[in-house]
Formats: sequence, structure tokens, C-alpha cells
Amino acid sequence: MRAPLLLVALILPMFGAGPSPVSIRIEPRAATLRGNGASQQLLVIGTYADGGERDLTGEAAWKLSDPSPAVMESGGRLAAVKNGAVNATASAAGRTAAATLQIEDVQAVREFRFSREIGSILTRQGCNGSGCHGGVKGRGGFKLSPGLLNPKDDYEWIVKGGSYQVLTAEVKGVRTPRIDAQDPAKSLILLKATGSISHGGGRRFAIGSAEYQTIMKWVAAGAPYGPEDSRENRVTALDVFPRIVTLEREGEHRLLITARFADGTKEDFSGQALCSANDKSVATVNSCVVKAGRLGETSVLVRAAGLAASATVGVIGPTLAAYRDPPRSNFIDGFVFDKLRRFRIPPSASSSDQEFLRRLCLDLTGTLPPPERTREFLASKDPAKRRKLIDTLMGTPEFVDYWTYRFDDLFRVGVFPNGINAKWSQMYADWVRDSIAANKPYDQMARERIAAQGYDGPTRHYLPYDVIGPAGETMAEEIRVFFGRRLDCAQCHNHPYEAWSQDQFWGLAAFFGRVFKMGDTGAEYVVFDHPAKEAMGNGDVNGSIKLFHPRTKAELKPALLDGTVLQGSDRENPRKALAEWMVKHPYFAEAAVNRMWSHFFGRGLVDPVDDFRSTNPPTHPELLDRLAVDFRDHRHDLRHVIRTIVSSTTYQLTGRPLTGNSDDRTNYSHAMPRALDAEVMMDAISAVTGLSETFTTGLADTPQSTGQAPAGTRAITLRQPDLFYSRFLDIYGRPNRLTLPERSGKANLNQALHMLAGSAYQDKLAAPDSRLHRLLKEGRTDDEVIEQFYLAAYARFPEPGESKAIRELIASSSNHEEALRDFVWALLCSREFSENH
Amino acid sequence: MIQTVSICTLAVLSSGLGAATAEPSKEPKITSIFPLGGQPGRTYTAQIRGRDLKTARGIWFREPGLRARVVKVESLEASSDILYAEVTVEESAPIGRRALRVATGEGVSNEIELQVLPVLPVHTGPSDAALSHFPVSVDGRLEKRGAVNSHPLDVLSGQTLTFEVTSGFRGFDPLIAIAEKSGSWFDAERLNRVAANDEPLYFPGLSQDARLVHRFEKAGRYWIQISAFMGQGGPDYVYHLRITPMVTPSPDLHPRFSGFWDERQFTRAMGSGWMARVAGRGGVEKPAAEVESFRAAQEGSAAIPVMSPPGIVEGRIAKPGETHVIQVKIDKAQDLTIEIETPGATMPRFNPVVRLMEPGGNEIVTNVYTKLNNNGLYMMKMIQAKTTFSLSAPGVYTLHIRDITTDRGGEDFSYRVLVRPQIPHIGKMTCSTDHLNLRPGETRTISVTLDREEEFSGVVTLAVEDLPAGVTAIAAMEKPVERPPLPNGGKLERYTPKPQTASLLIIAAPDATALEQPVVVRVVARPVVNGKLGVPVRVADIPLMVLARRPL
Repeated sequence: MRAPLLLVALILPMFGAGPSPVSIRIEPRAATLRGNGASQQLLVIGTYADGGERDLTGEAAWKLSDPSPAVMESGGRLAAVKNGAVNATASAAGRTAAATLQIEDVQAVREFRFSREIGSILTRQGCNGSGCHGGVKGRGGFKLSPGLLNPKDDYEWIVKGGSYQVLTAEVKGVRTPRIDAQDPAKSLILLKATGSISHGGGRRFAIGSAEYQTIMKWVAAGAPYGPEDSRENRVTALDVFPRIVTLEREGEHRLLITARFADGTKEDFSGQALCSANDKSVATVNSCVVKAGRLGETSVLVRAAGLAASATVGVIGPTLAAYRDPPRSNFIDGFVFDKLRRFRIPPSASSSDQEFLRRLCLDLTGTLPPPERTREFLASKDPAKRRKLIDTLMGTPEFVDYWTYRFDDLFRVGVFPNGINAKWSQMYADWVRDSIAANKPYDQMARERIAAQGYDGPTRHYLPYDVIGPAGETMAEEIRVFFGRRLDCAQCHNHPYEAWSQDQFWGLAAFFGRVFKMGDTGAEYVVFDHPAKEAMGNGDVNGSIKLFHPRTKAELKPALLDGTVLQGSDRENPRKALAEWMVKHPYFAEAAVNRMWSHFFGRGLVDPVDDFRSTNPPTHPELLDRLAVDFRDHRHDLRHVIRTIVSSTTYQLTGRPLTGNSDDRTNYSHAMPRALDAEVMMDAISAVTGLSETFTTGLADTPQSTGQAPAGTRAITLRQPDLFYSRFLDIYGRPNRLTLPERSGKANLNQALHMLAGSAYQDKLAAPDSRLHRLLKEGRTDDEVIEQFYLAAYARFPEPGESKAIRELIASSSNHEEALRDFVWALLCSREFSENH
Repeated sequence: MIQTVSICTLAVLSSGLGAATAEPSKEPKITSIFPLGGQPGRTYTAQIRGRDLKTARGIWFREPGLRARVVKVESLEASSDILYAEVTVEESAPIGRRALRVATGEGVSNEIELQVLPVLPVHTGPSDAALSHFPVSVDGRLEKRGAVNSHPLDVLSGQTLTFEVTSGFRGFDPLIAIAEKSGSWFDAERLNRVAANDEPLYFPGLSQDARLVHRFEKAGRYWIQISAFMGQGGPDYVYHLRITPMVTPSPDLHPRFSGFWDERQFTRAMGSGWMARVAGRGGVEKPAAEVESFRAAQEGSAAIPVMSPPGIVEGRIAKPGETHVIQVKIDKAQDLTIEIETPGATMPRFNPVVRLMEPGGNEIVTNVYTKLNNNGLYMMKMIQAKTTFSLSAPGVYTLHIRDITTDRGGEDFSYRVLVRPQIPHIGKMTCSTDHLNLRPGETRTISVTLDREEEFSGVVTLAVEDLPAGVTAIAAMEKPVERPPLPNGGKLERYTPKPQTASLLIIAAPDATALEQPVVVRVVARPVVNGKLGVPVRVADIPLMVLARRPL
């Protein structure tokens, strides 16, 4: 008997549940169930030696300390029976864990609520999804709000009938109710959903199913709506547990969905939520149970009560034989490396000094390190030299130049975006530069721009093409820049994939509805907020400053996202209140830190950086939260965020991938190469060749340009980029800033042609006062020249093999100087030069 | 029509018609002078750049105290010339800007400015020698596009200096910056900007000259950098830099308009005799009533003062968001004017909005002129320094005064708001040329535009005084420009006068004597009210030259 037992013991870890957990726990560990019929899903989570967690609910045995207050149903759901307290103990994998449940108000009959009883069915069955009746126009003439965003509207469409129209609030066609109070079974909503009559969405539930019975009873009871939703009983957020799920092949994990209400209470919404995976090849979800597919990572979206949340699911490979845990420099590393470990992705080694030096200089200052500085840094044995370099670079004027340029981009500094007036773009640019130089808290910058009035720099932002931009567009830009969200879709209709409604869009837009410019000569514009109730000459012409909802035609009042209408004096600047609200909103800090993160890693924790949405969740939600909290705690200090990021081990990992992480693009297991921005590239070429670029105003075919930037001006310091012509910069993707810049960094044919024949390469190499010619005049050897250019372009010494190959190439040429020029040209055209890595 | 005919019939002071000729103009044109100024009691050589200066015979100053002699003229490529002149600034010449022209055989040139400067050590051009004793001045020129002139400077710790750069070329907008060679990790020689400014504000009519006040915390070597906004440069880009060891008075933020009458500017000074001056331009010796001064109360105050026209309300919007209120008691229906002056900060910093509310609380008049643009989509609003209106009923009205923004205010946000009965008068008058060159037998036309303010309907006579022998002037009627009313023009008449244009024909007789130097002729207008000729009002002073007859 001993031998078979031993065999079983050996086989179980291989084919059974795998290794035993080091501990188990129940989620939630404590909960309160309120009201008749209340229930709570409990999960049993096992924690393993490698830090991973698994859902053991399916194999758990349950025991209640007192079986009278509650009963344990299948799958770990505890249902309330009577008031009292009960301890639930779970046993799994030889371990036990307990949770405490409080049961209250069981005698109180739960009030019927349309949103909870009927709306949740519509959500779970996907009826109000964006691909069905929750779409922009609805489907088949039947419109539901996406994800139960507006239950009152949904109720009306069901009970009163009629067809929705996008552009007007009027009901299309005759209103025929979709219920039949006389004969509930003949209600259209049931006939369609059960497939009894033709339904484009197919059969959603069966006749006699729980959903069917619920709707039947509701119609039979006269189809009540129940009490109106109030601020107190409104669901304010959905929590998903766990936020990150790791599954091995064939693994499963149940999600726990908890609704938080405005009054502070919580309720298990697992039975009311619709869960779906973004990439169904990686995972599928059924009734909130996630099942693994192929290796990879995907998001699971959860919708309920008009809100959305998400969890990240990773299907992971086999355990790594030897997992190297890099040293952790700050909290960033904890989040990044913990996830890497959970996802069984090995982190690469730390970057070399030369890799770090070049990367840091480009990231902090947009400037290549000079050869002599590179020699100095590489030779230094100081163990604190990286930290010292960070401090040094952040104190350089180049740091201010570079970050001014970056914010010039984001804030759209340019002649055409700022009133078609170079002086105005200069005023705005000066404001940006002063703000960066003084390390002005980012919330203050935001306040000054959002609420700008008068004739100051940031007011010029409100004068694209010398007119006041439409309120909706202006608002959408502020939200995109400072909240990282795209509300644009909601301008015309409720957002198809998000909880953004048209009402929210126009409520926010109304904050900008009174922005006005005084003056009409193109040179005297003063930006102000027109008082809503003062004519100020309005009576003279048929003009109005009122803003109307495009669909309902109702006059719009400034309202925050939660519907709070601004209560203020008619003469106050409403944007002040908006700015105050925005900078305190959690979106503000998370959008800011995400934008900064993106700069240093080539992608945001949410990517694109201005596309936060439930269908695009962060790769590292806890890290994003922590960075945001840290940013707020440090008075919205941008330099603090920058320093925190570049001081992390994560940032300082090498760009050389390992076998196990080469496919990783989202978990920061190694540094990803990033194309240099056009301006940085231009400056880098100038630095390596030793010849600065000449920037002139005017178009390419204008023989006489009217102005010229001072000698030595770098591309990143051009404050009116749309006036200073540069074919190179245009080819390499300099944005015109007429809209929010989106730099792709993708190579194109024009760039290739420019490398071959463009002036930025050829003229600078051939010029008699270039670095190459200076070195030759000084009588430097080929080895010295090669080394000097390697240091200038790559911030490293050439490898022996590289030197040898180049020397041979030069020796084989009949024209020594031309051969050296070719060598430098090849350096400039290499990916190692044109990327930050 | 009556007015126009009246001009034609009453304004003929001298006559004589000659044949107009159309020969290619060789009139001199000047663009800059270097150095830009001189000091009293000094004689120095200056270079005047321009075109068609080869026959230069003299340099002409509008004001006394300056003399100049043509030394030589060099012709350059691209048809430009350099005139070398010996300029003498007399001891008695007051400090300030002066106008100069060049007279050649082809006539008198346009006008450029030269400055009489305080007696200071003067340096010329960028130099390696550091400036260390102040006050000091530097004459410089941005020789080419993209040029940045750096002047080294040695300062003491805690020293405060004022830097002022005067541009000597129309279109040259100077930028001034202070830099120190604090270097950088990347470039030890890098000059880093410590402070910079190009001008206090950018606004039409404001000087574009740069001024910067800086306190140097650290002693040592700095550089003053002068460049042009947007990097222009060239031989005309001359400037004068003055460095003073103290905070000099801030430059006047008020737009530099001509010294002539312009009553629709917020910056004109409505002193105590303002109404009398207005009345004088209407042919009336003095207004009927004295102007009383008032102070408005803060909005929401328990007691609101009451005024009666004519009265002037004086105050300041000291804090952002303030609105000042005063009641205006009107005894009878009447035509009124509201005029607003900003003696301190002005547009675009302080943008006063004045609204008159009827007893029922509705706005009936405001200084905000509103119109729609041509496609009717955008509503435009412009604050005006003056508005006229009619009140049809007596009562107690309320005047509101505030800044157009809710975020601006300050000690210099002072205002003067005059509420007065309308006084028909001649407003702003402009002349189409600032100089005139004639050959014997030639006729030139000058257009004179005058504004009829506040329903002035009297006759206006035009005359040219101090004409040289052989030159006569005759007034003529111009065909009125037919402008259809703006489709969305709003109540334009409240905010704009009625302009009227007339012509003066300046005729040189065939035997008119050629002049070596220009003479100044004065164009004057005189209102005629009730058959009585009013006081002459100057329209313009124009240098005029009669040239030698062109050889056959």
C-alpha cells in the first residue's frame, strides 16, 4: 500500500491542484447583508509560495457557526434567513479560513426598484450593451441607456413605448407599450427576449426562467418603477475583486462585484453585473467566472447600475525555475515586480551605465550627453552616481527647456492655435516656461489655464484661429488634457462604450459657454466670461450667449459630472469653480502621473494616455493609484513624479530582453526603445555633427524669410514652431498643435529619403566647421575619431569588433574623409541613434 | 449734402488750377538713423539709411534745438543709400524724441525719429569691454537676421538696474534679456537667461520698446542681450540701450497716438476744461453748465450717491469683481453722452464696462458695442470710450462701472466717467499725407476726413495757412463713399461719429519758386454755427517743398 500512496503523493502536485497554498482566506472577510432576500458571494482564495493566488471556492467545504441566520448555497453564496451574526468557515487544500457576516433587517421587505430588479436583468442579458439597445440609436427602435445609466428613461421606453431619436427629444412614432398589463405573457419585452417572435438579438432567456418570472410578476403587478433614485441610494462605484487575476491554463476564477452606495453601504452585485472579456481568446467569462484561454493578458469589463469597472486577467505559463527579484528602489518597483512575478515574466537586468546615461539625458533634457561627460560618468566609481546624475540633470537649464517644450506640445503653444498672433503665442509660451522653471504645482497650472481671464498668457489658449472655440470642443480638450478622458462622443449622443452621457457632456461644456472675447480687430482680444443675465449690448443685435442642449433644446447650466449644478453669481467666472473641482478630482492626478509615466516608458499605465475608460483599464491599477496619491501628497509636484519614476529600478532596467520577457510590451520587464521626437532628433544630429540648425520663418518656397532664430537655437526651444519652417521636423512628425498632438514615432519613406539626401544629414556632415572636420584638422587618429563619435551619438565606447570593422571600412576606401563621413552618416541613421533605449 | 456743399462753397481761400503731372516719383524715403540719438551740446556723425538720397541737400527737424549737415551720400546695392550727416544737438535741446526728414532735390522725405538723450557715457555696438558704471547707454544695430547683440555687464550684489531699449526702425520690436554664464552640465559656456522682457504689453498703439527692471542678487559678470522678436535683423535694425542704476518711471502704457484731437480713446485726458474744449470744437465758447465730481458706491451699498449731468464719476476698481454704482437723476428727456477715461491702467489690462440701467432695472445703454460678424455667427463686443444716446423719460437711472473680467482689479484701475448733455462738434480730423512735394505747375490732392460728433450739423470750412509764394489751395467736394449699412452692425451710431471727407487741391503755379528746404503749412478747420465762424482748429502741419522745374 505504501508504494501506491507515494505515487499518488507524487502525481497530485503535477496533475491535481498543483502545490498547496501557504494560506487561504475568504473574501470578503466581513460583510453585512441587509434586507429580505439579501445574499453575499464568498470567495476562498489560496495564496501560494510564489506569491500567486488562486480561486479555491469551487473546492471549498463550508461550515457555518450558526445555521439559523443564513444558509450556504452552492458556489459559496450565503443567503440571509434571519437577523444575526454568523461565522463562515471554509476548508480547502487542507487549510481553513473564516469570515464574519452580519445579517440585518431581514424582516424588512425590500422595496421594489426597477433598476435593481428589472434593470439588472437587462444588463446581465446584454440588452443594454452598446452593441444592442444600449447603442447610440438603440436597436430596432428600442433604446436603452448603456449599462443602465438612466433607468428612468429605460422604464419609460418599456412601459410607454415609442422610438428614440438621436437628435431630438421627441418620440418617434406611436407610443405602444412594450408590456401588456392585461396579459403579461404577451408583453413585447418577453416575447422578444424569449425568441417567441423574431428578435435580432436572439433568445436572451427561456420561458419560465428566473428572469422571465421576474418580468412577468413585475408586469402583472402593474409595472411599477418603485421609489425614485435618490442621491443616497445611488450606486457610486463598483469594486471588482480581484483587480488582477492570474490563471494557469484551464484555470478559473470567480469575480466578486461589490456596489458602493452614496450612503456608504455596500452590496454584493455579482448577480446583477455583466462581465465580459476584451480578448476572448485569453479568457472567457460566464456569470462572473473567468476561464483561462491562451497565454496572455486581457481585461474583463464589468457593468452594472450604469457604471463600469474592470479587472486584469493574465493567463500565465509554467513556474520559472529561477526567478531573479531585482532590488527595489521605491514603491514603483513593488507594484511592477510583484506583477511580473505573478505573471511569471522575468525582469531584465539593470541597465549599463552608458545605457542609463543616454536614456536619462534624453528623457530629462532631450539632450545627448557630451562625450567628455560620458567619459566622466562611465569612469566614476561612485555608487551614488546615478542618483547624483538625476539631481544634476533636473537642475540644468536644459531640463527647463525640454519640459517647456513638452508642455508647449500638450498645451498647444503655437501661432495659429493662439489667435494667429506670434506675440500671443509668445505670451502663452512664457507662461508655460515660467511655470516649468518655477516648478509651479501642476494643479496651479491647471487652475490658471482653465479659469484664465483677461490678457494673460494662458488666455491665449482660448483663441484658436483668433476666435473663441466652441464650448463643447474647448471643454473636451480640457478634460482630455487634465482628466485623460475623451468625452467627445458624448457631444452628439451618450457615449457608446462609457458612462458618459450627453447631459454630462453639455453640463461640463456649459462652464465654457460664456467664455467670450472682447475686441474685433485681431489684436486686442480680452478673454472674459460674459455674465449670463447681463445684456452688455446684446439688445443691439440678435445675439445670445445662452447654450442649449442639442437634443432636448433645454438651456444649459454648468453642471459637474455628478450632475451638481453650479450655484454661483451670474458675474462669477464659472470656470474657476470647474478648475477647483477638476484639480481635486481623482481623475486629475491619475491622468497627470499617467502622462508622465508614458513619457518615460513609451506607454502609459493607461494607454493612450488620454483614453482612460472602462474598456481600457490600467495595466497596473494599484501603481497608478499610488502614483496619483503620491503626486497629490507632494502638492502636485511634477518634478517629484519625474524623480520618483527615474529613480526606480523599473526605469533603470536594461533594454536587452530575456527569453521569457521579449514579448512583454505592457509590464515593464525591460526598457522598450522609443523613437526620438522630431525636435530631439534634430538637436541630436546637430550635437553629434557639431553644427546647429538654422531656423527661419516663412515657407519653404519663400525666397526671403522674414526672421531667423538666433544662432544655436535648438529645435526644442522654438516657441512658434508653426512659423519656423523645417522640412526635417515635418518629416519626422512635428505636430502643428492645431489639435492635441499625437506623435506616432513611426518611420516613413520620407525619412528614409531624407537620410539619403536631406540637408540635416548631408549638409551638416559636409560642412567645413563640423565636428568631423575639426577633429581631422586637429590631427586625430581614426580610432580617436571613431571613439569620439560613438561617445557623442551613443554615449558609449565602441566595442572592439565595431572599431575593427570601421577601421577596415575606412582603410578600404580611396577617400579617407569620405569614408569617415560615411561612418558618421551610418551612426546617425542607425536605430541605436534614433531611439532612446 | 448740405454740409458737403457748404465745404465747397465756403472753404475756398485761394485758387488756381494747374495741370497735374504723373512723373515717376524719386521722392526720398528714409528708414533709420544710427546712432539713434545724441546728447545736448554734442556734435556727432550719424548715418541715415534710405532710398533716393543722392541729391540730399539738407536735414530738416520739426522741432528746434537740432541742426544737421549733409556730409556725403554713399549708394549701396539694392538701390539703398547711406547719408552721412553731422548732427549737432544744442545745449538747450530738451530730452525726448524728435522728428527729422531729409530734403533732396526731389523733395522732402517721410519722417523718422531721433532722440535727444540725457548726458550719459555712450558706447557703440557690442563690445568685449564690460559696462560697469551707470547710467550708461549703448547704440547698437542688429546687423543681420537672427542676430543677438550681447553687451557684457559687471554689477554689484543687490544692485537694481533699469534697462530700456528704444527701437529705431518701424517694425523692429526689440527683446531685452539678461543672461549669465552659469553654464550647464552639458555646456559650461552656456549663457543662461536670468530675466527677459520685450515690452510691458502688446497692444496696438503701445510702444514696442523693451524695458526691464532687475535686481541682481549676485555680483559679477552678466550679459545684456538685445534681439528682435522673431529674429529679424538688418542694417536698419538700430537701437539705443540705456541702463540706469535705479527704477525709472514705468513707460506710459497708454497708446502713443498722435498729439492731435482723438476723443474716442480711453487714454485722452478729460481734464477740468474738457467740456469747454469740446464745446469750442462745436463753435460754442463755453458749455452751459459746470461739471461736478462724484464718487460711486460699491454695488450692494446701503446708500447709493446721486448725480445729475453734467457730472464726472471718479474711482478705481481696486479689487477683482468690484462693481461701482451711482444713480443718475434725469429731469427731462434729453440726448446724453457718456465718456470714459482710464487715467491709470488701460486696455487691455483694465477694460471698463459702463452700463446705464433704467429705473426698472433693464440695461438701456452700455459702452459695449455689439455686432455680429458677416456670417452672423459670431457676436463681437468692443468696449468704447464714448457712447451717445437719448433718454426719452425723466427718472432716476443707475450707472454700473466695472472691469469686463471678474478676475482683475488694482490700484491703477482708475476711471473717470463723464455723463453730460450732447455737444455737437467736430471730432477727430485726419489728413491723407504727412508731406508734400510739388513741381511748378503741379497739383496734388489732400484728403481731409473729419468726424461729426454728436449730431454736429454745422458748416465746416477748410483752409491751408502759411503757403509759400506761388502755391495755392482750393477745397473741393469728394464723392461720398456709398457704404451699405452693416447687416448685423448693431447700434453703430451710438459708438461712431459720422465721418465726412473733403479734398484740398494744392496747386503750384508754373512760376512758383523752388525751395531749398521744406516749409510747414497748416491745414485748419473752422466750424460755422448759426452763421458764426468758430475758432480755427488745427488739422495737420505738413512740410511742403516746391521743387525745381524738371528740365525739358
